[in-house]
Amino acid sequence: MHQQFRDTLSIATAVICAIVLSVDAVSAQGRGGLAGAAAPPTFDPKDFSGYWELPPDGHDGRNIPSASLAPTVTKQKLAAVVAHDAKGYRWCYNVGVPNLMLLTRPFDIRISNGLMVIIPEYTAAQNRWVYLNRDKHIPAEEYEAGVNGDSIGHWEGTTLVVETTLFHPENGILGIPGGGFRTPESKLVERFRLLNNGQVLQVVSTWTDPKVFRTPHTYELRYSRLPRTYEPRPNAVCDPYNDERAQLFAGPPKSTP
Amino acid sequence: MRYWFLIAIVIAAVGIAGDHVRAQQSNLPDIEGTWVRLDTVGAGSFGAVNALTGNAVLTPEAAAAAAAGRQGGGGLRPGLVADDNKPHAAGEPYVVTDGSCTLPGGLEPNSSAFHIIQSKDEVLIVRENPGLHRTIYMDGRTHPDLSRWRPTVVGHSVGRYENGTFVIETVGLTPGGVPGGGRRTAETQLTERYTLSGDGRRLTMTYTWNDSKIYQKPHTYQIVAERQPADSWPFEDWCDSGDPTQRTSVIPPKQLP
Repeated sequence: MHQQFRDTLSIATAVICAIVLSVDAVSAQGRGGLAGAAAPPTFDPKDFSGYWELPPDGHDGRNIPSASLAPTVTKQKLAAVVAHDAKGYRWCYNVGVPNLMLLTRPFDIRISNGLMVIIPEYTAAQNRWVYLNRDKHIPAEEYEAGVNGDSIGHWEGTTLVVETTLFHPENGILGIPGGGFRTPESKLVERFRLLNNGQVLQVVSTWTDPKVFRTPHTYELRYSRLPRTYEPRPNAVCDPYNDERAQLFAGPPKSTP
Repeated sequence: MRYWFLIAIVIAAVGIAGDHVRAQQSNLPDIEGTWVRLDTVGAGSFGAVNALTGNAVLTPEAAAAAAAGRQGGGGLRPGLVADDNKPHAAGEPYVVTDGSCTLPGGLEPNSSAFHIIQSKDEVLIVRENPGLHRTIYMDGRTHPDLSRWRPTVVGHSVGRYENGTFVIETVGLTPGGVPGGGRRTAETQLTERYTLSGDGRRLTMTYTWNDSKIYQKPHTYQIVAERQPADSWPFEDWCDSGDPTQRTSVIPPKQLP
């Protein structure tokens, strides 16, 4: 009887300790420290932190249908946007939303209690900040509009819903994947969610702007997680004063005999 | 079955160790947020602050190399095409930039705000203006073999927490100057210790450079930063390389008596 009691006590102790350990493992997903170094990677559906990249094949990881544009969007207006963006690519304009999210170099996402930051590996791209500690946008009269706009996010289950507005009217690349362009009145809602046991980050983007889109324009991007040991390479450089690079934008190459 | 008791003791011991780690984590300094460097000595400019920290004791060889400008850092930072610290007579035009919008980034904070993001595997230090950010790996990895490392302005950094202090070790930096008359090469070791004030509003960053080829004794100085309100946000630094005024010469005006 005494032996049985001791065995039962031992099993109960082991079970309790196992629970304590599992709680430790979960809490180790929090901020900082070296405890996480030795722990095996676990799938936390809210932990987007890591390095992500779009598949190198431009036909993979991207589902971008054509946008239905508002009747007020004229060919002249579209041509002006194309010309603006062509100048931007030529002169290495800072890339922001939405084209920041289509860069083919990896970017580093770090998420904490108050914010999510998206850091690209490209000199001509702005770092992106998503605030999780406020539920209202900065008042427009206080905000200096930028290429990334003002992004705020909140959780709906394991999906991070990010709303962005207050874009700059001219700065950056204006074109939107699938057609159309962003304006100061545009609103973007992105839904970030982990798939495939945390190895894929799905971002579903929906643009609304009555002056540009007849109906909300939605497309999806899927990023692959890079190994935990990945270290960012030196930033890809965009040099507007590189003459040979400038020739790329001067027109189609001439055939040489 | 008596082994269950032994297993339970072992698991309990591990659980207690986990508690210890968790307790250490709860004492981690909360340095996440937006910071702005302070002029704590009344120098009037950050360049002057750097000059006031001029306590580097160089080896004769390093001093000679520094004087000859052979060790890097003697030239202008990328983007500058003329020495803007050189006095110019009224009416004498001079060009201060090459028009490029690319900034190099760097170790010490400049006059812009900088942002610290603490995550499980990394701490990021991101300047408000464009330029390479710093990634401090917290997962226990070691520095790379420098013979296979291309030096950068932020080098390779690993970090840890020591009794409430955030400690960063960095190597692999591009050769150049260091505040206070110091020098550095890719092999030079930098140790930074970030300590919060009791009220959490000030961050004292102590820099210590070690390199027996350059310094007769470790070269140390401090930079102090002030925490910004939690609801503050970064400004985007917009610059258009295609704008001819980016390369406009500066013409000092005549001064009235």
